[in-house]
Amino acid sequence: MKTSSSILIAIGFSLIFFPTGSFAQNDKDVALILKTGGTVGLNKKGMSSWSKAKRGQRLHSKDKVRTGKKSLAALVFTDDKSLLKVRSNSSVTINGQRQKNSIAKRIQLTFGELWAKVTKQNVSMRIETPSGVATVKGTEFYCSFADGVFLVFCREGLIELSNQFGTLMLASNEMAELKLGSPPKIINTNPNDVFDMSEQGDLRELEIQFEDENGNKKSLIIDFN
Amino acid sequence: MNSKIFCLAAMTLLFFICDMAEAMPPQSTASFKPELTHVPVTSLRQNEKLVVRARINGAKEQAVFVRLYYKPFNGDSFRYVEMRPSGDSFWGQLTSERFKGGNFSYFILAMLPNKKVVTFPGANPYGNPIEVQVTGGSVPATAIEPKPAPAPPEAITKGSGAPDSGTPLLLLSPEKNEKFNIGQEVVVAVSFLDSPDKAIDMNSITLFIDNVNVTINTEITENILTYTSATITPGAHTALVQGYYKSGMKLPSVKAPFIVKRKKSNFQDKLPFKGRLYAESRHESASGIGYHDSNMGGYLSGKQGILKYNARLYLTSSEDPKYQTRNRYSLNLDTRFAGLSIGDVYPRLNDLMLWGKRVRGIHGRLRFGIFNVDLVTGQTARKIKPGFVTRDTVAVDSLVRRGSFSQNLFGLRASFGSGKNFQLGFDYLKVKDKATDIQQGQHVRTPRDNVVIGSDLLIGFFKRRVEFRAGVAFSLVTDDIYGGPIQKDTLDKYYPELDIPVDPSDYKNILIVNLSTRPLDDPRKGKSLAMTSSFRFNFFNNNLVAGYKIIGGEYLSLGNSYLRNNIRGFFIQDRIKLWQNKLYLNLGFDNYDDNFRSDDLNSPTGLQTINTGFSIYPGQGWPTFNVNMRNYSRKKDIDFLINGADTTFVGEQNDTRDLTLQVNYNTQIMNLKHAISFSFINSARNDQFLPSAESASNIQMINIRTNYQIPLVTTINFARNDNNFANGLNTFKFNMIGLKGEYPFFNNRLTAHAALNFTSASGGTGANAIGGAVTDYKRTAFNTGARFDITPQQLLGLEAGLISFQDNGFTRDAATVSNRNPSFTDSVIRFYYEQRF
Repeated sequence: MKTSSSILIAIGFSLIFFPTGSFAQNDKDVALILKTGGTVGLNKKGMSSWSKAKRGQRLHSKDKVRTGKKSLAALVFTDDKSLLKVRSNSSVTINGQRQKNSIAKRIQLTFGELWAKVTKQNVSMRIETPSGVATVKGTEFYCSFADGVFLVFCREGLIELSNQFGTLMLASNEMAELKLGSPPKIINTNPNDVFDMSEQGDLRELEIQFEDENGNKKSLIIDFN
Repeated sequence: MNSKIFCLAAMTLLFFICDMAEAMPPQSTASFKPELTHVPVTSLRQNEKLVVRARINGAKEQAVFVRLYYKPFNGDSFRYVEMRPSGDSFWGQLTSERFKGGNFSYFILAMLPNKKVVTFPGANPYGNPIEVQVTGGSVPATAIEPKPAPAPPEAITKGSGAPDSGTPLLLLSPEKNEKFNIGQEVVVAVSFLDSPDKAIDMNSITLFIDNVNVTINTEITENILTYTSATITPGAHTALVQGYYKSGMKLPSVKAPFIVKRKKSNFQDKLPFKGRLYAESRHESASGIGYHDSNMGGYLSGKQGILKYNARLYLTSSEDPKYQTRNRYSLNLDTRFAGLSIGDVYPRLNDLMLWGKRVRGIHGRLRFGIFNVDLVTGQTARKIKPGFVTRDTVAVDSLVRRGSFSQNLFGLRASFGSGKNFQLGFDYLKVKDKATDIQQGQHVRTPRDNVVIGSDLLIGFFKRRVEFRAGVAFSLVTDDIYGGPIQKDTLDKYYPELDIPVDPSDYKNILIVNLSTRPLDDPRKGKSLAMTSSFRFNFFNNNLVAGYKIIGGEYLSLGNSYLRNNIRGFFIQDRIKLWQNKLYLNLGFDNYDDNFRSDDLNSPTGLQTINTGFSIYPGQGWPTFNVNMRNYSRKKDIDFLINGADTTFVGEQNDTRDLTLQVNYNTQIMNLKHAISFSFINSARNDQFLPSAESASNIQMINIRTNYQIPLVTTINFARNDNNFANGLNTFKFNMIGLKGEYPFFNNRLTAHAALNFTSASGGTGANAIGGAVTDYKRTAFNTGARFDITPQQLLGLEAGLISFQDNGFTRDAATVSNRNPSFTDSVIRFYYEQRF
């Protein structure tokens, strides 16, 4: 009886002062799904199955998002409104740990393409792939990972690229690639040939009004993503 | 007992370790990383220099460079100056001219030998630089909201960071005035940025949508609040989040206006289709003769389930049985796998056979992707009766206008492959004039019968950036079917080598064969064969296209009667993109043999064109340039005939060179927006055999469109054209200047315009010789009008114009000195109405 009581007290002591998951609140509500288009799946941490992602759904650390063909998921990080758009045929794992009012963001890009716009923040954002890591120090960038090649285009700001073979600083309007087994290097590829930079992949309807010399008006409506 | 206490302690410790391990952030090496230390400067007096010092701690080697990046308050991008080493630190300075004397921001960046970069501020310096307020400057001191200085580097590396002194509520969604479609989920999300000394009371958080408390349907956790609804009614709405701190102080609330788009509810938008109707009437009086023309029409399109449809109608008062029809109508029905078009259709089967010719009939199509069928049948021309006039002095009516036959077309195409990356097509076309429409001798040309068979291939790779196309067609045409088909024995008599096993008259329903049929010799000679091929390669900033074609001298398809025959040759052209698509180079070369038939009495003529040019689009704020030079030459293989075989023969060798320059520029001068366009065209033709065919032209055009600060828009244009023919024997000069103004009234519902145009022309063709002519006229045109938007879907327009033509030119004949050209005054009035739905 006394032994059982002691054990119960020990368990209770542990639960009170060190409740399971007490520090796990740091990894909750890391991001939010703002928009979805097409086929967007969500795999919550610890679950084996995928569910359909919906607008307004909360993402915790280690949740996974994947998109199908002609699809898009727009995520916003809850600490600083940094935006992340997961483009078609992509899969990412969102990792984040709260540090006071900031979230240290690590996005594991399994495959596919991302666009991100980082707002003012006090902690870094990292994009991790098997070929290397991009640490964002700037504001806007595109990246993709496929067949072991991690491509990064820095639209504005600075991005530090690194893997076990080297480190490279990428400045505005520069593009670099990281491949398995080699250090990061700057490439002269036109980013327009690699990334769809037209409207950052939003699913939208664009209406353009024309007026001819006689004043006749016509509208052209384009659905695009 | 001791063992029990030990077990208790061990279990407790175990729980603690497991919990900490799960919650532990990724191991940070920041404390072992090199870092920049610097005391930020947040304010300066005007004209004071910025002097900064920074030190790199934790680095084993000297930095490769240290730079001070800065950006003025309204600047677009950061610039930098190098910082110099001084002892164990680096220093740099900025004079006030660098930041234009106003507020600015800066950060420091150091590159280490191992290519590591350290910055101050440590994270995202571009987005979170140090902001410096310059007091006593032209920019108000309050231009930048005061912010606390960034936390000392030690604090940042430990990850604590300085708390934001603004509102603890961060609105994530919606953006201000964000628009949502009706039925779309509206997401309201707010993040709670807590601080230890100002904890938020989560139980006090409330969310209102348009003053309605919806907190009960809101998910609130310690980090964020989220609310989602797809049933918010159309219109403007406001989301409001309020609450309190645990201390009882009220939180700064967060308000977010947003809009749910209203579904159009007026009658027009309840219609299952959309389109427009229009009517126009125009009356012109030219040299005292009135011309009147009215037309009306419309267009509508819609979708019903799987069926898409559209219809067009155009009716004109110019419709006249003496001419081909000018009215147009069509109805198109399309589903995913099938389509039907009735009325005036413009089918495209094979560009060697039928490519966009108007057919009044039916075009049916099946589209299964793997297999497709197109069938088109109808009339391409209607019968035009010959015109006769009765004269009292002549017993028989006189033919004053020849008639035309009606022409019927039947086309069939079967293809394999959707055409996205592959398609193989087989085509059949028959076109035949109805010979019984017009009596012999009263027609413009003899009635014809034409059969064409062909095939085409398309293969594409990489989303058709690499593409191969080929087409082949063979034609049989009988130029005169009045006499009907001939018998086999007659054919054998005139063409014994042909040895056709069948009697052509048995197949008159397929093609009427007689002595006017082409070809009647061995088709393998290729006289009626047409082949084309092309290859396209769109990679590495090149859009390269090359092709070859050979069109036999007797090839004719009445479905594409404008296709030039008796020609063969190749072309190659490339469009190269450079300098981030701001510079385009165009290069082209083609070489053809015209009249290449060896059995043709005409001498073959070589045609060669070299086309070069470039276009520059530097970007916003800069002019665009287009320059093109084309050299076109024609040369016959034979310069002259010997022994006087043909006294009419003239050799041919000439070159025409065209140079075109275009500049377009949108700019702002004296606070007015101008769109300026300038064109220069220079053309010269040299002829080795016919000096009278030589010519030179110079054309200059300028157009300036100006938007004023009042809603007035003016357009000024000027054109000048100097032409010189036959080495100055004939000349023609043309000058034009025009001015147009447009002004809107009544909140842009009424737009009025007025335009004045002066033109003068002078020149002559052998003015002093009999039969010569002098050109000398002046034309003044005035035009005014207005367009009124009755409703956003209805508009009414009225235009009137007056043209005065003063002609001092004349022609010189044998009897008198000159025959003066007439002068006249024209007037035009036009009315139009349009309804959109």
